[in-house]
Amino acid sequence: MELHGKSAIVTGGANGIGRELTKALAREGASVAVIDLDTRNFKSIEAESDKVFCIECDLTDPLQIREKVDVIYDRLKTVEILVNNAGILYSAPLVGITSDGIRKHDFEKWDTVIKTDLSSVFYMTATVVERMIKCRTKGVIVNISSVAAAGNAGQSAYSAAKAGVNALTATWAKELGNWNIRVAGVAPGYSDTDSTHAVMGDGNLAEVVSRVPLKRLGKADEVSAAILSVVKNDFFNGKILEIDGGLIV
Amino acid sequence: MEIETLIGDVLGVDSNQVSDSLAMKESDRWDSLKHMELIVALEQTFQVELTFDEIVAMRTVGEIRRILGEKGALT
Repeated sequence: MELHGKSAIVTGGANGIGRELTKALAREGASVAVIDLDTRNFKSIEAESDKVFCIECDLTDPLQIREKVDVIYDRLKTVEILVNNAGILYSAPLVGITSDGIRKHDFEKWDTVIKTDLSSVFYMTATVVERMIKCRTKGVIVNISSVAAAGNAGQSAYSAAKAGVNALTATWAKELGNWNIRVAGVAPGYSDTDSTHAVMGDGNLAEVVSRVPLKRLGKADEVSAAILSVVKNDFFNGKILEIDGGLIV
Repeated sequence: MEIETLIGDVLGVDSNQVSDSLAMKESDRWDSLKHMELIVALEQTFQVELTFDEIVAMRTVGEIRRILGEKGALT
């Protein structure tokens, strides 16, 4: 897919990998609507390119999604690219022993992670694909998964959500091919972003890095380049591209 | 290729069972996924591009024939 003149939505586009991807898409000539709940960087993102605009939205709320997607279509007229990048990282064992005794995984946290990392992808994609089909748009959906989808000790909710994202990716690729809509995924390993440092802690990250053959974290621009290649390659469909420095081999 | 043959092939039924009155809602073989297969087959076979409204309207064989006829695809 040639990106010049195309329109894209990037969820979670205000920070980290999403922000790098937004810059890359704009550099290639695409118009980009950034959807994020975190509005702190909106002004600086919009100042970087006149091809980018930002919209605040809680992606766990289907009604908000419908309203905001309508706003985006009013402005862009069409959307060929949707990147479902928004998500949260949460780590906790199913049952753990702490200094206070035994503690099981918080059920509310489970619901929050599943809603934010899995349900939001479903709501967003259904809403945008409905518009794509009505306009008969030839498009691409890229879901940002994680190598945690294979199961990460201490990340029940996150791993389950990302495994769900992989299943949706395969299912939608089969369903939407007849409509000329590709669906694929990118699964980063551990990346050098603020959110990763905040959730994992530097001690845990050092242990992870020791298991990566390249002995470092991924950079946001390296992951965004992988996403961009999936967006552009018209024959990449239904699969998950892993970019983890060789962590899972 | 005749419409009846194409629809029969896609739905997996004998073309003799395909008549203008055959409707999506009355056929357990003609679900929404099969409908898109049918649309792709019609577009490729008859060299037409169908609009979303036409795709939605094509819920009986009679309607398929009418819409393709209006587009000059059956001459």
